[in-house]
Amino acid sequence: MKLLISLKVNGQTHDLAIAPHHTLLGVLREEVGLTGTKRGCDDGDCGTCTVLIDGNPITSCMLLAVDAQEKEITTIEGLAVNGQLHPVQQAFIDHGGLQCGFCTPGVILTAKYLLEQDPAPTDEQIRLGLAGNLCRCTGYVLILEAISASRDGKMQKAEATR
Amino acid sequence: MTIYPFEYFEPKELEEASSAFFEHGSEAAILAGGTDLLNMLKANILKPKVVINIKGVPGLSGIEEIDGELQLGTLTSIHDLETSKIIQENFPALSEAASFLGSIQIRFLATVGGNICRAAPSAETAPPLMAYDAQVYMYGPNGERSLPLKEFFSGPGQTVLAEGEILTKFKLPIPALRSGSAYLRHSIRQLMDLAIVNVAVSLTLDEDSETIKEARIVLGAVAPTPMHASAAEKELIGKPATLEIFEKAAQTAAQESKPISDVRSTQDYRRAMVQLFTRRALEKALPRAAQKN
Amino acid sequence: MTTELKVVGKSLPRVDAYAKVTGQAEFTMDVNLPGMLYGKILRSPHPHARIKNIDTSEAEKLNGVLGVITGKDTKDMRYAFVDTPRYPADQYPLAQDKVRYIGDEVAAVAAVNPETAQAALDLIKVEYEILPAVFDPYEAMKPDAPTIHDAEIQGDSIWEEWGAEKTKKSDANEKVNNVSGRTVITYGDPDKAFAESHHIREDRFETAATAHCALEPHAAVAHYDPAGQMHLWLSGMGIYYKRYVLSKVLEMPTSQVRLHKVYIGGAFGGKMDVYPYEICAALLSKKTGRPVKIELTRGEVFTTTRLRFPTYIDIKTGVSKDGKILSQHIRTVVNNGGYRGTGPVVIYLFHGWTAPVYRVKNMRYEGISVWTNIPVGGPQRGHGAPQIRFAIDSQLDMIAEDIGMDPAEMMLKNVRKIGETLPNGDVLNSCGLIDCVTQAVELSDWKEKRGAPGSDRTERKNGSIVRGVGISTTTMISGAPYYPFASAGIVKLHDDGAATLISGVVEMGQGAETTLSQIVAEELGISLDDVRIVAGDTEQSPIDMGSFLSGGATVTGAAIRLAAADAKRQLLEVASERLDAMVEELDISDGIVCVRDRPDRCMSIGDVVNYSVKKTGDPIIGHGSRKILSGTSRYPSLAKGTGRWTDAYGFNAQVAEVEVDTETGQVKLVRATTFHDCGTPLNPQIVAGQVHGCVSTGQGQALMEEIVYDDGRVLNPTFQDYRLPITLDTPETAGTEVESFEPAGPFGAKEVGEGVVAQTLAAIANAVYDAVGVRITTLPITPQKVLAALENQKKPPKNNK
Repeated sequence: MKLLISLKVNGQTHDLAIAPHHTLLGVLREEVGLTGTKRGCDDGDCGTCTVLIDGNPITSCMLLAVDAQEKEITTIEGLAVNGQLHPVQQAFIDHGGLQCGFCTPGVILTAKYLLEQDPAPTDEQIRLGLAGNLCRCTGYVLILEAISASRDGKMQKAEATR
Repeated sequence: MTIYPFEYFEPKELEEASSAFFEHGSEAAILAGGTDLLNMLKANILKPKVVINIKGVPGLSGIEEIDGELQLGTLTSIHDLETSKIIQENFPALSEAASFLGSIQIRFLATVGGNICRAAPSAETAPPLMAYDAQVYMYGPNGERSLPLKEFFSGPGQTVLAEGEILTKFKLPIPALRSGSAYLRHSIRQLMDLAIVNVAVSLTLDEDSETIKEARIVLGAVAPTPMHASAAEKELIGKPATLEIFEKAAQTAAQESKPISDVRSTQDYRRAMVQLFTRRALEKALPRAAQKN
Repeated sequence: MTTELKVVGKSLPRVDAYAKVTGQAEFTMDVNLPGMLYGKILRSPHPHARIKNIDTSEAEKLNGVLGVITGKDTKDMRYAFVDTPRYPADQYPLAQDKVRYIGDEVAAVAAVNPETAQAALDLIKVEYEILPAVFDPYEAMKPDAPTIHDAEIQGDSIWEEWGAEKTKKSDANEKVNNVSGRTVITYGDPDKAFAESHHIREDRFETAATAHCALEPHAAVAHYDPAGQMHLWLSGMGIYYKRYVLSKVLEMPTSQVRLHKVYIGGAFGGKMDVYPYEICAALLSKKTGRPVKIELTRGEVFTTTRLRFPTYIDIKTGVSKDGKILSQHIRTVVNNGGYRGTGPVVIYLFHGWTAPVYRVKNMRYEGISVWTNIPVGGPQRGHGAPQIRFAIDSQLDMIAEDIGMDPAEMMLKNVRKIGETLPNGDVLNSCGLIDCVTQAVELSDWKEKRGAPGSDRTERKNGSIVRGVGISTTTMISGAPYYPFASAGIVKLHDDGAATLISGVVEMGQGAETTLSQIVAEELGISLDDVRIVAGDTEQSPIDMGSFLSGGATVTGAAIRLAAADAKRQLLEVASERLDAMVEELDISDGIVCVRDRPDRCMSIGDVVNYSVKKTGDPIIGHGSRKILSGTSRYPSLAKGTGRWTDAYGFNAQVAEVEVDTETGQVKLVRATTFHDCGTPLNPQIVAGQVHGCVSTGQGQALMEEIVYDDGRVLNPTFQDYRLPITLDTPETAGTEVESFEPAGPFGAKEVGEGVVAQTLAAIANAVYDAVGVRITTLPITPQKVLAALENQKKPPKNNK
């Protein structure tokens, strides 16, 4: 039994027929074809499936797709504009804040949210905000460095000139 | 990790939700934030035929102060609890507890009603809500009823909700002058971990700002349900708020607690931590009480 | 090496970074093919049972189910990572007669969607006869314990195909019940040296099973092409090794099995082995004629894709008055789980991680791996090094206290130096251990933080928090012999002056695509931006040893440098004709070939390539290869520890600073000062990333991580209950590489990604002791253990060493 739903992802509306038990994660990956959102645990514990809903980060494995309608969904694919990276993406490249890259989309989206909420978060606030994004490769050191380098309004400034 | 298919229903009114829930009985599940429900669906612990999403039901969310009481809708997100100014100022233990629940991503989804209905012994928001004497409101086939939250839990994962009943809101009296409260929890990992012990305390001092007039100590993860350390509370009342009396009450709380050994901790360690964190929570709450006059 | 390096040694951005920050990097789970089916595996709910009957008829009838397979479909497919004359393979893709752990593979289905596949699993009826099970290795060795592998496994092994001698595998000790492997290594005269020792200690250490926790769960996509080729996208670490095993198991020619390139979302050893789900995906694709994807759930990853071996280590050490280790007797017992995994390898490796660090002339080492009914053990970052280095350096700290010596000083008395030859014949052509220890001590303020002998720990107390420091050392190989025993590379030049590197390397986060490209750029005199890379596809890439055994930089790197040098040689030959100069007179810089000191006689690499094509049709393609252990033909013996093993060892030393909360027993790693000898760092930022990751994993495994079992059932197969470190646990990190140059490696480079994890464990354990005087000898160092030990302290806090 399928439902007709409409999801607004990265500014585009997708009309889809899905089963009610499908999660937003599954629908983004398997129906919309946006595989940048990763399935790391499917249990809300790892943060790899983080997407932004109306600007706020959520684990898309813990939300039914049918329940994500009438909201602005942003995935990692939605950050670059006209082939130009978002400043946070660029900061991760510049500071080596990634290794295997599997947690990276979720980490970057969470970081973007944090810096939008507060352009000048403290080290502790960054760590608290990223606590739900597991990474086994980096020990978080260069991830935290990449985010720190984007604070104090630097992300906003870079975004304005993008 | 495969969810079995179900039928999906989005009621627009509370009564509609309740009657659908009543009609399908144990074959239905209520969806609010979904962070616990989806876990159970994926683990195939629950295989409901019908899922009733109550997020579209009006009047179930929001944080409001009405007639000296805080009214908290069941759908209020944990993130809103954490960041609400009214709560931070008047119910700091509740916002502190909210900040420990899962990740920021989970806190945007999870709801206070869901956290309470899941009835986990370690539920983050239960001890502070109980320490603030929360009254819980339910709506069901027989209309609305309410209970003190401490009477709501009937066992691990179990509540007194009857068939078709839906938790709708909480009411918390605004704390009196010279009241202070605190929430502490102990876990191996600072966050993203279930509590080995969690403690919420609330103290109200007499006009002399020294004598303890009222005390609440609520412990989580150390009994089948969150529990008041009643004997410890009694020990505090009428006494001057000193570190010695806090330590004594903490010892009593440890004795009263009924921890078990499981994958997260041992009974002995939990008991020792009840004592330590009760003492630390009381020490943290006292200056807050002294300030609020 | 006096020439200044322009690309190698620079912290240039990763070549895979753009794809990864934009979500474009394709991992196995992202591969979706038209008509693709979804596979799922039915697993044993029992730790030990005989399969009496499997009835799949109901499952096969379910609408949407296209294929069901059981042990009957895999009965000629005995295989395993360890498959030597002594230890023939002990595993099948799907269980034959018995299941040996909870999670053992019993059947597999392919269906049109995951829900239908799940429903089909529910319909398979398996009749089990439950057998008594055993979970403890010491219990399992008793004669009356249930025997997990009934019959002695017979048959040829793949090592014989690779040229190993067919030796008789009988060994008196193999008669011990459930023993799956045994290593005995002796040199010098341990008894005599013990008799001459000034001080002798005997201690027991235990380590927990831990999980790799790569964020990407294991997945496989298989597509059997009716023309006869099997296309595979796998979460792996070495495409050539997996291709070999899969071709054997599937009875296909190796070249008809094609592994396609995918990025790997972390591996840490856990994706090296060929797993049953991968074979099942291939078999189901062959059976249904459609592509099949199998994604393991996180729970399956935790229980069925190998764990670090729980290990029991007894060490007896004799030292001289001045702290020199004179004699050592080490006994290890690993809990192997239901199948060998790499059990017989890890008991060999324990000794392997011992010999290169401290000079111990008299040694008796005995290692035993034991089959039990818990999940199977396998390689995990450091493969045995964390366990044995935890034990050795914890004990060294204890001995140092016994004899009144600073442990760092005692290390310096024992660490090996450049030029030394190890008992197996390996030579340390580079070894910066002394510098690692010395610099870690210095930068960490060791002497000040450790406090003068006799000083009171309580002076460092802040409320209930006490600080302490501890030190440990470790080593790691840079590649070891395993199929395909070599790596090769191809470098082809383009008419715009760019180069394409073609390599079989697998990018799993370690940065190989970047560092190997840097090698090519450096050798050719072009910028990193002008290097393209094609990697990780068996159809396109030459052989590669794989990204395990830590040989990526040294072995694959050397092969690729040779390939680039070969292209450069050809390029210069063509240019010499065109520029009318001797090859020796030519230099390449910034993509331009010039006659030395004659800026007027230059041409771009692109023009040289153009000229070459016009003249002879040769577009200039270089190739290079490197065999592991050049000049040796014998393989090392797992059972005796003889035989050379690697060309180069990496080394590390670390000082950990911790805070212990004496009221909760909780330990926090606040600072890790790590110095490592990785030879020339090919890309310092990538090296730093490897070190940070190792410190984090080591910290987790020292303090929080543990797979908890109850009668063979994993009780915590989730990221909620299996706690790897989160952002809030990140310590301050300090330290860098020491000056070192490895002649075997490209531009002097060697291993760095694996070794560092090992010494964090003892460094933390020793720091805890330094802080509060309690010695925790069983990992992890949980708050419960520390608090209990603190309560057992009869005396007030210890008065130092």
